[in-house]
Amino acid sequence: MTDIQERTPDDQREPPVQGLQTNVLTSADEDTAAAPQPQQTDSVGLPSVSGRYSWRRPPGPAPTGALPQERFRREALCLDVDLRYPQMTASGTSYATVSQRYHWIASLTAAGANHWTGSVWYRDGSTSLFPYTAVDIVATPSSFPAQRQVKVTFSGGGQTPFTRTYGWHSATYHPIEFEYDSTADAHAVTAIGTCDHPNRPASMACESLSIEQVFRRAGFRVSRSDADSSVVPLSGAGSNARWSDSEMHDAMQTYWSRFANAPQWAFWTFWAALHEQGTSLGGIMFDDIGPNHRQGTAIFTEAFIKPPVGDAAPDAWVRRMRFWTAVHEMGHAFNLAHAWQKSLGTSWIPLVDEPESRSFMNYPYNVNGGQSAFFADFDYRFSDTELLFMRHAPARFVQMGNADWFDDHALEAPDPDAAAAASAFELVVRANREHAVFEFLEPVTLEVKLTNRGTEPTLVPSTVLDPQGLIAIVKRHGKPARQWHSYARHCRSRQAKVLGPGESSYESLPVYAGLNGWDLSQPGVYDVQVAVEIDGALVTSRPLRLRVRTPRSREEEDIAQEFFSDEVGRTLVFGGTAVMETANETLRETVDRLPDSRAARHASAALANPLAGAHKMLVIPDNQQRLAGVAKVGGSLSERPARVDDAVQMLDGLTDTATAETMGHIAYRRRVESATRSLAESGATEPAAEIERSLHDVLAERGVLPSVLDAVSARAEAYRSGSTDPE
Amino acid sequence: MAVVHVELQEGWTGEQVEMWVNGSRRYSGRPSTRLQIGYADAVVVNVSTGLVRLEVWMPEVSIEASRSMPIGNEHWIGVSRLNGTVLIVDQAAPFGYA
Repeated sequence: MTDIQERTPDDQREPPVQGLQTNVLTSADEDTAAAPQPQQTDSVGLPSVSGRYSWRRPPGPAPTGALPQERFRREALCLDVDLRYPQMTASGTSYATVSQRYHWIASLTAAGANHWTGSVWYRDGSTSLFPYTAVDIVATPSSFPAQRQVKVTFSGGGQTPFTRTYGWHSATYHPIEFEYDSTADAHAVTAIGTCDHPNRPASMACESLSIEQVFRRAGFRVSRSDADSSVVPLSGAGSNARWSDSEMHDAMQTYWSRFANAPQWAFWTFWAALHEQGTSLGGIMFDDIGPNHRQGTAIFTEAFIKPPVGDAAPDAWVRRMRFWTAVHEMGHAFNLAHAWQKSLGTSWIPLVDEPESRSFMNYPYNVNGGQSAFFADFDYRFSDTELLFMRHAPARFVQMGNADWFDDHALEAPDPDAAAAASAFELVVRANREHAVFEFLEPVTLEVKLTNRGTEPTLVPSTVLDPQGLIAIVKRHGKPARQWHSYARHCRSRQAKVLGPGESSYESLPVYAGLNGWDLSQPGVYDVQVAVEIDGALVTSRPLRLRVRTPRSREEEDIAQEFFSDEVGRTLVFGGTAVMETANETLRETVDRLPDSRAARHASAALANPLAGAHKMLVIPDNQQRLAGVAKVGGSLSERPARVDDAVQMLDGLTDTATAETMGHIAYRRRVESATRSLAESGATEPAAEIERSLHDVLAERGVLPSVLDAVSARAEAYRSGSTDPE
Repeated sequence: MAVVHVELQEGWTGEQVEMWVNGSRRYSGRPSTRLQIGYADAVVVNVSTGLVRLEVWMPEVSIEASRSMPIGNEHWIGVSRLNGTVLIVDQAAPFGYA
């Protein structure tokens, strides 16, 4: 992504506008102004200041009283008050860590020369860190980029006002890179003459307009990977020579030189003759499958586009419609909906439909008066609400490969600087089996592994892989992505540990259930991706694709009704309960009716653990009023004794490789050793020793690290010698 | 004879839909609109020229709609679900999606 941002190709500049003498400064002009040059002005002589500005905390310790992470804080400011289609808006994004990121947007009113004031109307992320309600912005224009700056005073929200000065970054809001590939039988149109067809606005400036210019005017720093363009062989479309979505997706992965399973400000545009749907489909943003949507669009040049009978300039009419189609499909890659669909789905802010808008995202033939009415008033632009979204919405909603199509829930791409800092680490999420296929009802337990790939020992938080601290995204195919949330959140003092070069840290991830419920339970294909934060930088895993099988019997379907409950989820995650009898009843039924299932092994472990030791239970008499205080109503603590024999019998049934596989080695060992500890404390040291020895044998059979086997042997020996505390 | 293309367009989210043309059931399914093209599903029907009656029924939500239209040649009918109702439009040229 850094490579894209730094590219400044020669075609960044707008060509001269034919028949128009005004001196219009475009974002592209500004963006290439690397060297000092005379003061640039817009058409009415005012200095142009719109664009992206940045700030980062100078090197050194965090400010007094601030969290340590604050030393990493950096901010971007987008000022949008002049140049093409100004939205009179400022927006900002502030990062310190993933959990301390926020985004705000304010509407602006001019308060003087290069001076604007406005109210903050949108917040996203850690909004408690940004309570301000108003901004006062003063810009300092200059011919010299190093001297351009914006001073923003934040106020309101009961806070003491403070002022921050942002330095110039670029005259655009985001970078974007296109790659155009085509088939030999396609007729791509990437530029038109705006006056080639007589049906146009009377005030239309006559010019040669390219797709890149359209997006520059929308506020993007456009580049093209032309050197890597390919002619895609027709054989990719199969014997019918028409392209299906999956064939295009395959072609994208093969021929797009920038393809990656990751968010990036880049996408692939493919020109072909026809889609398999036939001549009715002029184009499609086909990439709405897999973990990274909106990376590929296609235009079908032999589709329905035919000029009206008797049209005055039929060739120009066709070229214009193909051009419109191309920009329209590319607009979908920016997560723009059709003009008449704005109010549908999970829009980033409440939107109203724009069925009559003269935007690339509207169908020309669907407005009142039809296509001639549309093009008589069409200025080759996106609507204001679309420009507001593209320029000022949180980047993850807009960036390709980030938020799913029509969905605004996804991991935000890491900041390039932070990503570089985090590149010394590799994070892997995996299933503890050869193929990531799980039985229906089987609680999906994964493992995460963090490896130091650098050459230096590095300090990491001791809880860096703690499930409650990492970010886990679960995405079932065809459904919106959801963030998994652990049931528990512990408050711990921060401690660090050293991860040497090549060393790894491991943790179990009980992703099957959490505060969202059973996110990963229904039969189907899922992608799971995790991320952890190290020193303010995000380390992200590649997605793990897994499958949950369909039920094998009516018994499984019956039990699922009770099994996928909040109580059972909590009982499994916390390793058993002595008090939630409904959950225990479901687990007993699972063991009885499905004794050979993976779910039964999890159930047995959860049932055995509370039996292995004595449990304190709060008993409140039934005949008293609720909410009157435990002591007032005669409540008391009683101890339920251990049921050693029952526990040992259940645990004996779990010392096999199938249980180790379904639970994962980390959770398996943890569960068994929790139970043996309770058994030993109950006086049953010899059974505890025997179970530890079986645990050792199972883990040895599965090739677990020698250091782990040694530790298990040591516990077995300690119990054998009568110790109740092997630690 | 004439060919009628009945195309399910906007607003379909997986509910059961049944369509009858001139009293014969010609479509039964759970269409889902792909929002990026405004298209869900289609059925092609051969009918006699003249007045054609299309009936649309959504049994799970008790929504029904019908419309009669003269058909002289190849014809295209668009069916959308909008604001709790079913909207039927027709034209003598193919619909375009993008």
